[in-house]
Amino acid sequence: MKFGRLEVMQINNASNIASRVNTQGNKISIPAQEQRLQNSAREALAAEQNQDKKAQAASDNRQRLDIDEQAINAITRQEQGTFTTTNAQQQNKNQNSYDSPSTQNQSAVAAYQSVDTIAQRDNIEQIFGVDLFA
Amino acid sequence: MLLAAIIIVQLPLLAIPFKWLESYFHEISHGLAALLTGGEIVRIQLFPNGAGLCTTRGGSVFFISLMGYGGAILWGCLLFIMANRHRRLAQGFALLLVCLFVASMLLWVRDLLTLFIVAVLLLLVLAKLKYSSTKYLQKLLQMTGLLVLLNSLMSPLYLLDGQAKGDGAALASITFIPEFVWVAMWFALALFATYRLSKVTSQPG
Repeated sequence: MKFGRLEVMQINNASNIASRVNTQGNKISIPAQEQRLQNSAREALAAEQNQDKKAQAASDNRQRLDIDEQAINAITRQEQGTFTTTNAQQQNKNQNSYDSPSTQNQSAVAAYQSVDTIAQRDNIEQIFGVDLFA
Repeated sequence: MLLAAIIIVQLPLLAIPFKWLESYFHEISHGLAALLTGGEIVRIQLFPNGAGLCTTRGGSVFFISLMGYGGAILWGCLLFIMANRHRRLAQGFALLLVCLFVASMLLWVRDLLTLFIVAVLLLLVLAKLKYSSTKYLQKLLQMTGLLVLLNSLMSPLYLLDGQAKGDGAALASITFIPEFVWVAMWFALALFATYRLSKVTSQPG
């Protein structure tokens, strides 16, 4: 259950990063994004001057998008690597704590078992004709 | 001495045998009450966490239910007073405890875990008798009495769990007096006894 929740968080984080880069590139500083801004200005000028250059600008735009995707993929991989490490550490920690239950847990189990015995007192009393006092 | 007893009760390992002793006095008091009112003891069970179970047949259910927590308080007081009064009385009372433990093991213990717990209690009393001079035996038994009382002070509070099980609920079903009244009575009795005996320990000489 705990691990499943972590995996969901990981996916959400990755998608958040992707959306941030696509929509609000100013939050993460990547050289490709500065290049994108310059290209955008250039595109605007080219659109006014020449219709033919629009095709070239579109071509640049596709190239620019390719660069962005690479950057996003690189960041996503980096983030995934971090989360995977954290997950593995968490799993190790949980595994260790599972292997050695605390004394509080042990006494709780013992208490639970004794309460369970007491809960059956009515049945035992009826079957054997005795009284049980805890 | 009371302060030392309060500290010992909080210690995780050292406190365990005294918890078992209080539990034993609780269950044996149920059993003795059954014997005194014409019933019999079928079986006594003790658990490592301090829980216990006394199976009886016949006797007064009211008296048997009342004497669990009440009996543990009485045993604690008796242990302290006997040890405090005279060295010979302390020795005599320790021997009485040895006889009670042996009789319990022979007559009423039916499982290995309870046998082990009672054997540990028996060895503790035997060690006190063998390795302590009578002067230290008195002090040790006084301390044991206080520890039993402190455990008796806290143990009725476990009944206030909303489950309506245990001696308080049994008495409530017989008398129509609510469970918390019985718990309050046992708690007050143990508190009063602890207070009075702590006054004795603080007196010089």
